[in-house]
Formats: sequence, structure tokens, C-alpha cells
Amino acid sequence: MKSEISIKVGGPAGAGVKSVGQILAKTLQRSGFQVFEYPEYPSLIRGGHNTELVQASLGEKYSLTKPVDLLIALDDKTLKLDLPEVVSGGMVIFDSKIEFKPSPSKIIYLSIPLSDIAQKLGNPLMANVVAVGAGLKVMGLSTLMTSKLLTDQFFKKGPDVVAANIKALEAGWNFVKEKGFKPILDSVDVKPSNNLMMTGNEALSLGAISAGLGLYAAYPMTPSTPILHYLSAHQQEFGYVVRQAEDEISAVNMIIGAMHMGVRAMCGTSGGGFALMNESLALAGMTETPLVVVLVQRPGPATGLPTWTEQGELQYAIHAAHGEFLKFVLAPGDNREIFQMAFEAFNLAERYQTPAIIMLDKFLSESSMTCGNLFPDKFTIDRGKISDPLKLKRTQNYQRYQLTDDGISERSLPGMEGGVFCANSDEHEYHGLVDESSSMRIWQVDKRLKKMDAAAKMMPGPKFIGPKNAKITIVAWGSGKLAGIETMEMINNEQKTKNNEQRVKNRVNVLHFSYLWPMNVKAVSEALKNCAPSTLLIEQNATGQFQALLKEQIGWEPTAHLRKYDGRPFYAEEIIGKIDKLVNGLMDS
Amino acid sequence: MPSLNSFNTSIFPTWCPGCGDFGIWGALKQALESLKINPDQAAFFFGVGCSGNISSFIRGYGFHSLHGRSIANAAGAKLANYKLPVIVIAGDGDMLGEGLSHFIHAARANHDITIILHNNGVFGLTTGQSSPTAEIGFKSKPMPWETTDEPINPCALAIMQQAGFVSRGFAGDQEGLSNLINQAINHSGFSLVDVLQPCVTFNPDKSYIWYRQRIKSVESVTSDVLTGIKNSLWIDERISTGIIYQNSRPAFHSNYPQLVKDNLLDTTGKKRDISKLLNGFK
Repeated sequence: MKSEISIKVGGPAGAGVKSVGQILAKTLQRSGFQVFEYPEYPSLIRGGHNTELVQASLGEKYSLTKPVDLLIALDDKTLKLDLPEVVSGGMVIFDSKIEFKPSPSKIIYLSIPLSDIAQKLGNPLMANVVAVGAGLKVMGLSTLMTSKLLTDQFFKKGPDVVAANIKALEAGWNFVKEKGFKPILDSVDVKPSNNLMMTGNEALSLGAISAGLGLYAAYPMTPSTPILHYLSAHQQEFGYVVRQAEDEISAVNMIIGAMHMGVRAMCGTSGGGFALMNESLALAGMTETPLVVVLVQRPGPATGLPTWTEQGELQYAIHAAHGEFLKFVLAPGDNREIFQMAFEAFNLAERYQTPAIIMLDKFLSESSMTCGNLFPDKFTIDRGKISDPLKLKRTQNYQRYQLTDDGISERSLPGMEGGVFCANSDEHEYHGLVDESSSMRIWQVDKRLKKMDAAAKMMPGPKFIGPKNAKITIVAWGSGKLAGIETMEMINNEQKTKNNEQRVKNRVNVLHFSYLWPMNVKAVSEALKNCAPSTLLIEQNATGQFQALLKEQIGWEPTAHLRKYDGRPFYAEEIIGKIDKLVNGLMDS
Repeated sequence: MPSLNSFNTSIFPTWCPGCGDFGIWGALKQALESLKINPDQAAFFFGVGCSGNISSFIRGYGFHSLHGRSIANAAGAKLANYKLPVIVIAGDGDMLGEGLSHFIHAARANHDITIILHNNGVFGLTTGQSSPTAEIGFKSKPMPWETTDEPINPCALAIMQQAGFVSRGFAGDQEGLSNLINQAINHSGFSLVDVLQPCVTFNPDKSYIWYRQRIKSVESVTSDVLTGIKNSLWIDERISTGIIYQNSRPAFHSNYPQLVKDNLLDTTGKKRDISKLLNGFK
């Protein structure tokens, strides 16, 4: 008996795989579990093979592990592709209409006429709801919480639809009840929980709304599109504006135009769209216009794996656009950090009058995670040096690009009396008028780069998570935080067996980086000095981009590294496998 | 009250003597003066090229953008603060080459921005390559025999997308041009002033005289797309000027209910209470 569970649902696109995953995840969340829900789907609308991996624990749950306790197969492909992940003693629910003869094993197979039951209840599309009911019973949960969810979900479609769905749910539940299986979970003591569960894209949208967003412009691109949808749905209620632009170049330039006018604005995209935005990052850098860009990474180059995950654009984001100027690169590691950094990105962009890039990836942006609360009260708005209209009116000879100690100069907004200037993409003098003289060029370059020095000094260093006296430190950036902590918890809570003797002797902690650029060399060096004797740097790209950055900036190298670039996220077992090699002296890198 | 001088900067224009840009510069200042718009009461977005260099010769809240992108900047700016007039100044190379999609989409959306298109059929600042409006037969270094590409007609394109206000003026007629710019700024919706502009250095065949022999005022303003397109074409050695097409489509920003009363500049940038949204994730 256990207090954690891993469920995988599989089927073709359009069969309601996502709904099953979401309903199960929500039920578990409301039953007091920590939940991680991870969707996988190819880039198509019908057919293919979609899965939802829902993992929940009454203890802590940070990220994914491999084993599946319960597989719900809505098609035969799932039985072929996902069966190897089911643990011994685990359970497989599949639709009786699938021709499938299980080979003898320690897995329990449950053939349920999901489609037939749904058909009898009036709508074959409810087969997935029957599957949810069956899944609940297999886990050992009642239908109570889920019925309420379905009622809310189908409320607008009328009482008949609600009733039919609840019947389908109960039919699935009763079917399994009659078979009399022992439930997978311990009897669950359902207690109401205030634990929030959301995707990274949603956490990011919430951060932007909270921070006073005025305009969001974007061109649809997976996996950033849900930001466009979520923000659009709430624009009228909160008074900001969302615009689908004709392309990413237009999106970023609309944002720059709005920021120039004094309105907080943001655009979001993935790698390809970000590439189109590059020249405009330099425009914001040169004109000293604030800019917030969300870059949700997916595997490249080019169209790559559009619906999968990677951290392949770190070096690209840092070096994006021509010329030398300050830009911030922030890579939050979980929902709380995403919310915080969405909020903070506006403050940084406005305070330093320059672009700020928030990097997510598909894994972080589209997975649903419980995250406690987001604590919006902790954050305050800082709009930087925007002119006071009354003072500006009395100012003689206002200079937008005046030289200052920290390089940051006062910013007037169009319409303010006495603040006329030209935000000039050409090199310019103090009022923004074109100036190609050697001396002015040097002064203005130095002005812009002073901001870089000032910003680097105030960038927070990386954070240690876990015990101080560790033997191994997992070094991670961005979304690597979650896999790192999941691995750490598994190892540090492990009981000694004959297979893991070396491992359990080694306590593990995590060093996580989310403020990536500009790098606070002093704070980062300090943290790296405090790492455990052995270090393992994990990142989801093939060339070790973060490792190269640390080497370049600090001269530091890890004992070993683990890089993954097949589009799939890290599973804790993969990191444990690498740590085993490390502790047993079987290092290959 | 603004005077013509209040729009001058410390830099005198660096265009070639006789350049059509001088006429546009004068007409713009005249229009702003007649509309009583002070330099700090409008937002200007400039393209890159000889025309964009006006960014340093016009005193006002300017934004000298990248080549081709000024319309996108202006569209965002108008949504941000629809109370200020937003004026885009760019050339045919900039706006109809690299920036063509922004031009068409802004016309389609009917953003309330005024576009002053310096149209001289040539890339001046890069020394004379053919632009998207160069006529067939134009010779230039990248195409030494002659251009065979059909020229773009910006007025026809804008009318196809039912832009609110489509007009054509001539840099050699400062009075007439300033009058057109005045009406374009007053129009609520996308307004185009396609300015026929001689480039005396790199396109000398199309001189002031050449244009004067061909331009003719349109007889009346139409709101009919087909008539408008017909009137916009350069046919039979005749180029129509004046307001070629006008309609009363609502300006883009007025389609947002949240912008009916409020300006984003005033309603955003303050911390919002999101507790209601957070409850949705419980």
C-alpha cells in the first residue's frame, strides 16, 4: 500500500486523453495530493499518440519518475508503446473493443467496455469519462470529488449533459467495484486543500496580469500559445489588451511601441519566433526602451520537435541580436519562480530601460503542477526613472540620454510637456538626435554598458536546496530545478539495500540558477565554491550550454554532466543512474 | 500655440539640394501647425532611409525605428495611448519592401495611424537600387539591364484592405500636401498619404516636371473599393492625387470594449489583485 501514484493515459488526439489526465489530476489535487501532470503529444490534431502522465503524492512531488502504476489505454498503440513502463503488480485498463491478448505477467489487465458503456448512456465520446470512473476505483478514490468537477465543467452545457457524464463516471467505477480489486492507494483521507495547481504558462500570465500588464502581442507558436489564450480570456475583466499580430516581428515591435508610450507590454513566442524578433531586441537596447519577451523553448533547429521539450536556447538568448547592450535572461524553475520572474521582468526592463527575456520550456510551460500559493503580495511594482510630468514641465533642456553614474537616465513619455526626445536606432546625442562623432559614440556606448555592470552586481546568485553537508551537488538551471529536487529527495530518503550502498552514503543537494544574465560573477563564484565535493550538471541540450557559460564566466567545471536532448524531460531515475556511476567511480565524463 | 519653428531641431536636413523630402518636411510642419498640435502632443515613428532621417529634423516625440518596422511600433503605440496622434514617416523601400506585411495588416486592421509614405521609386540612402515602386525599365546596379518587376501600388493595396483613408500627394505641392496630411491626421482610422517624391540624385528621370505633367486631382472621394482602386492606378500617363478613397470603418482600438472609456496608459502599470483568478486554480 502506498501514498503515491503514477497514472498514464494514452490514446489518439481527439479521444479526450487530455481530459482524463486533467480530471484525474484535479481530483487528486483536491484530495490533498501534490500533483505533477505532464502531457505528450505530436504536432497534429487528429490521430497520433497522445499521453498524459499524472503523478501524485501525499508527500512531496516535484517532477517525473519512470514507473507507471496504472495505465489507461484508449487505443491499441498505448498498449504497445507504454506497457513497458507499467510496474510489476501495476494495472492496465483498456477498452474491450481493442483486440489485445495480454501475455502472462505480474501486471493486472482490466478489459472494460468503455465505448459500449458510453454508447449505452447516449454518447460514445464519454468513453474517456467511463475510464476516469474505472481509474478512480482502481486507485481507491470515490467519485464524489470528480462528480463535482464534472458538474462544474459541463454546467454551461445543461443538466442533461452533466447527468450523463456523472452516470458514465459511476458506470466505470461500478464496473471495477464488481471485480473487487485491492486499491492501489491507502485509504485516502480527503481533506480540502488550498493548494493551487496550474501550468507554467498560466503562472507566467498571472505574474504579468498582477504586474499591471497593458498590452500582450503574439503570433501563435507552440508551446507559448496557451499564454495568448489565457491572457486573452481575461483581458476585458482586467482592462489590458491582447493582440494576435501578423508575425513575431510585428508582435515585438508593437510591444516596443507600447513600452515607448509608457505602457507595460509583453510578447511571447518559441525559438523560431524569437529568432524573428532578434533585430528588434537590439532596437530596444539602442533606444533604451523597456521590453519583456517570453521565450518558451522547444527542440530546434528550425521547426524541430514542435511539441517537445529542450533547453537549447540559453546561449542564443544571451547573445541574441546585433551589437553590445544589456539584456536580462531569467530562467525560472517552477511555478512560484515563473510568477515572480514574470513580475520582476517588468521591473527590470523598466528600471534598466532594456529587454528582459523570460525563458521557459515546453516541460515547464505545459505541465500542470501543484505549487502551494503564489504569494502575489510579496511583489511591488518598480517603474524606474519615469519623469514626473510636473517637474518635467519646469525642466529646461531635458536630455533623455543624459550620462549618469549607473547609465540609467530619466525617461519621459510621449505626451508629457517638456520631455520631447527621439528614441533613435541610430547612435545619438543626449536628446536622441543622430550623432556619429567619435566622442559621442564612446560616451553613449559606455552609458549603455554601465547599466550592464550595475545590473550584474544586483543579480541574485544561485540557490542551494537541500542539506548543507552533501557529498554531491546537482547543478541545474531553469526547469532542471524540478528534476534535480525530485532526484535529491529520492536519494536522501532511500533505505539502504545491497544495490544502492554507495549511493545512500552520499547525501545530495541542488544548486539552482534562475538569474542567468547578466551574471553576477561574485555571487556565482561564491556559490560554486560551496558545492559538495562532487558535482553533476544537468541540462536539456546536447552541447552543454550552461556548462560552457560557467566555464567562460567563472572558469568552473562540474565533476560530471548529464545532457538530454531527445525532446523528453528528465526522469529522476536517469539522474540517479548517472549519480550511481559517479559514486562507483565509473565516470565517463 | 505651435509655430513652424517649434518643429525644427538643432540639425538642418542633410538631404540633397532639391530633394522632395524638403517639401514633405515643410508640409508636415505646416499641417501640425494648422492642427495646433504641439511637438509634445504627437508620437512620430520613423523608418530607416533618407525619409527616416527626418527623425533628427522634426522636433517631437520621435521613435526612429528599424528598417520596415515603424508601422508595427506605431500600431502598438496607438493601442497604448489612443489619445495622441500617431504618425508614421517612412519610404517606399522601407514600408513596401521589408515592411510590406505590416503595411497591409495595419490597413486591414484599420489602426488609427497616419502614414506619410515618401515614394520616390528608389533606395536613396544606399545609393540608388530599385525600390518596390520602381517602374519597369528602371536601371540600377543590382539589375544592370532593367527592372522587370511590376511596381507595387500602395494606394491600391490599402484600398483592397479597406483602409479608412487613402490619399496621394506631391512633394512639389507643399500647400496641397499639407492639406492632405491635415485631413489624414484628422481621420479616425488608417490614413495613408502616398507622396510622389522626386529623387534628384538617383532617380532624375522622374523629375518635378515629369510628375507635374502627369498628376491630376481626383474628381470626388469615393467609398467604393473598385472605383478607388481604378482611380489609384497609374494609367494613360495619368496619376491621380487627392483623397482617392475614404470610408467610416471604426478605428481598430475602438473594437476593444475595455478601451471604450479608458486609455491603457492610465489603467495599466499598477498592481492588480488577482485573488479571483488564483481561486480558479484551487
